[in-house]
Amino acid sequence: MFGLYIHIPFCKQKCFYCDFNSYAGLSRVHAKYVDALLMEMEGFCRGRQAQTVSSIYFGGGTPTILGEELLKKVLKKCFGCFEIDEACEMTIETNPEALDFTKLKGLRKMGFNRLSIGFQSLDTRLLPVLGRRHTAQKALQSFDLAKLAGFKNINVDLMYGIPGQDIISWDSTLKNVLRLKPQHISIYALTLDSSTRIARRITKQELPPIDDDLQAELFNYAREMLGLFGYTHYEISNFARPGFECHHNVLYWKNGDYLGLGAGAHSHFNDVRYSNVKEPEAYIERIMKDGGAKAQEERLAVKQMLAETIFLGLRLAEGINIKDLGKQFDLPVDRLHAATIEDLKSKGLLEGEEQLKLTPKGVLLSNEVFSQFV
Amino acid sequence: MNPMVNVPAQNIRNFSIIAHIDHGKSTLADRILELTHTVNEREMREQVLDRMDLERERGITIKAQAVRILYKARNGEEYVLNLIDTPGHVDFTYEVSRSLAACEGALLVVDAAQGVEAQTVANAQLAIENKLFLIPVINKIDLPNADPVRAKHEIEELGIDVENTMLVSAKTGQNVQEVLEAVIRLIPPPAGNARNPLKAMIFDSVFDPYRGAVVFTRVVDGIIKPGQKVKMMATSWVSEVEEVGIFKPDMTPTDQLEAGDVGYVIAGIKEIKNAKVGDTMTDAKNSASEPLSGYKEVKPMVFAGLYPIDGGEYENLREALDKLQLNDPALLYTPETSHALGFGFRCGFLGLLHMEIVRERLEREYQLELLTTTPSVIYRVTKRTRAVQMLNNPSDFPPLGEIEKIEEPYISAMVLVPPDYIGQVFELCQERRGEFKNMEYLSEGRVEIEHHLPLSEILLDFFNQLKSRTRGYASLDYEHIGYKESDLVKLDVLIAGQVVDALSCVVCKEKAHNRGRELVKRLREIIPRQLFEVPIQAAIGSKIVARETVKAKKKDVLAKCYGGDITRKRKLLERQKAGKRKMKQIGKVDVPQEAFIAFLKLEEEKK
Repeated sequence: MFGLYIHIPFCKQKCFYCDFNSYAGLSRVHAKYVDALLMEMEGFCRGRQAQTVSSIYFGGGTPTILGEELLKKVLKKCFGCFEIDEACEMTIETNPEALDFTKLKGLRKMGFNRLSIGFQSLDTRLLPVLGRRHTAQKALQSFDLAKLAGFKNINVDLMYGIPGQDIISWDSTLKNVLRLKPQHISIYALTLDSSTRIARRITKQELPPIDDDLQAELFNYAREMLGLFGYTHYEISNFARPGFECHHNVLYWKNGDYLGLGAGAHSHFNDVRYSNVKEPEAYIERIMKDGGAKAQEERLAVKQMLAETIFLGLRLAEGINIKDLGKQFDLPVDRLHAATIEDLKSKGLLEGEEQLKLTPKGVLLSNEVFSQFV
Repeated sequence: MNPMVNVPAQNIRNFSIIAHIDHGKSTLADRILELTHTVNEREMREQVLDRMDLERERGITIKAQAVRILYKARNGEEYVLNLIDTPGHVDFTYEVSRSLAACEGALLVVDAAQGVEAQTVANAQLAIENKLFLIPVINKIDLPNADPVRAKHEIEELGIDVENTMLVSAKTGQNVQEVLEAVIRLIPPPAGNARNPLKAMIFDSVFDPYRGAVVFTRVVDGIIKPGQKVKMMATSWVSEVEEVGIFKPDMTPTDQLEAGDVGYVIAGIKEIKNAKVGDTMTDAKNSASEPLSGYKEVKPMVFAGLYPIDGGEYENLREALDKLQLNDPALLYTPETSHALGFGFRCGFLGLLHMEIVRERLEREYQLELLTTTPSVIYRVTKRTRAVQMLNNPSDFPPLGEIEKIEEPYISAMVLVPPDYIGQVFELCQERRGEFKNMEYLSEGRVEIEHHLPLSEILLDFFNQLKSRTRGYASLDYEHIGYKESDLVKLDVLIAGQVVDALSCVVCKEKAHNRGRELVKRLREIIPRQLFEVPIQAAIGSKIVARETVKAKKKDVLAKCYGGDITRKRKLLERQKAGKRKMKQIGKVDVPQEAFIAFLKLEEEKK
């Protein structure tokens, strides 16, 4: 059993902070890309018994850019290749400007039961800084339309630490989102790769630099507010109404198995991690030639698997069970890391005995914790 | 012409060329070599005598070189002209003086446009001290702004006889032959008796890995030949001569060297310290009663710490220094340890140029990545108990309460400038705690200003400042004049309450507060944020004079972590962990090596 991730690396335009594997202006490639996806799926399933898929996630780019026909094509193949439960969580990512009622109804009808909309901010001044092409109005509207179209599990993505953002702006955005009562909210600190437009503008001093301390403040503020409004802070950046945690992502944090299809997609099965060719047209070419598009592969040593299990598991609020880990890896985990755990506890970053978890302070300084376990 | 031809002693001329930097000393030497066919067309590279790459790059001579030139004069007779090329920088004054002591005369080269400059004066004085006959040679007369009349006048003002002044262009070769004729005519042949006990002065040496020290020598009395046992008079070292020869400029063995000759001696000397510049070689059995005068032990003037950036390179650094010292006996070094930097060496140099040359050679020839800590001087610390210590490492200083007084080395700095820049010179010298001593107009367009300054004040970019404030017109020469008491204090730097010895420095009291503020501010920018607040303080004794705080880190988190890049994230975390291990621990504070490097690095660009 594993999760299924499908990457759609296309967007209408790149946002100014984006360093994901996505490309604008490749619409002529969409159809061929989907064919390649189908071939890749075929290549995986052929000769095997149909595997059970526990969750499906369409990520990107802007997956909805493919349009109904192509999306249906992909899903049909999924259902053909894998055992997909009726209750299987099927998420698709999208942006406010890409949505209208018809499209949303279409998505719902073809089987998607979870929607993830990138709001980023509801502050009109900040959206252009990010290079987003929707207004706050449109964002709110798209949410309502999604509800109307029948989506009962909607996630909103928000960003904090945007140059020019202060706590008042953040407070306003949060409150407006809460008013919508989404089932799930993800908040991310803005981090910039030096190649992004925003980074360059900051270097040229056209924008103020990113303020780590302010980001910490904004995070704590959201954490508190969302808690007050009944959201469970179940992972470092993710909040959900009870029962609405994202199954697909929880799989990652529990270091489960998943298959990644598409350009640059990552897969994990037991002790193997591998990823595909990144560039869409190169991916298509590889698939046409070899039926698969593996670009990098890594076989993990036991210690590496243990390390990954730890630093992924600690991202979840429930933390990790040292005893279970010991059994799983057949290693005396509690003794191996005794000193580290003591040290991190004394620094106020970890807590718990058998069930180890990050403290609220530890969440913000989680890299300090994680780096000790690798 | 057979270079082995022996000419009578009265047909030998030993001479040198001295000048201020860039006045054309090396070009003139090249022309002379060319003219006399000492070096043929093919071998002729620009400035042949400068052997080392570094020297050629910088256009300066570091080591002395000697060349035997055979010249048929207009009178039909054959002469041997031994040209000794001297190091051209004030750092190497002693070497210059010994090279000059090997000569009877010198060509004093002066740039016709620049006129007399600081080194002209310095070198001329050295020549006069060594009783050389000076022939003024005004060079670069081919240039449009040449003013030979003024230059000649300036030379005369130095008290030098200008009757025999020659006007030349070394570049075009104009009049160079006349210079050779003048050398023959005016410079006396060497005095000295081949029958007297051997007295040969060592004026330089080079280390050959196979043969040992190659000693450059001027034989004053007696004869030296293979098989002979010679004794170094200053060290009493005895060894057998394997080979003697002359420079053509390449080394060429001969049967013997006799009184008046300049050449080399190879005597199985495995350690260069046994062939000291200025020492006298004599026959072990039939020794001279007295050595030649003028021998001095080298004394370094400037000190700095040299540390390998990668601690694992320490042994390589030591080996490299050992090898460099073979050819550079003036380079001194002792092992030193620093809390912050690990193992390294405290090195002594003749001056800043010497230090730079050594540094560059270590980096280039031995591929070492080095950190050079700010140069310092030797302080003379008198304790209340009357005990006196010579200390060059601030962390060796006794506690404040035990110190009676601190003295530092002073120099007398002579700056030559056009009158327009007198103000700038005064300003700069005052800034550097200078005491005005004297001002004199050497000529209408040239003023000589003397200040007494602490040596430590000129160690960092004084010269650069001088040049930039006077638009390049100023020239500087300096002399050590001994120790003077100054109001000096030791400034300590504390990180999280702990003194970091590597960062301590000695400053004059009046600048201590400012320097302290500067230091803590810089450190605050360099030290990475920890999980707790880190106070950074500068203190004199127990008194804190400046303070900054590194705020505690509030955020170090990866917000997004999905299946997309677990491998990458794991690698980043691994790197974070590895980076931590490389940090120096100052108490509980993690300080990366780079922080110390950035902080302690020679602050050349800062000011």
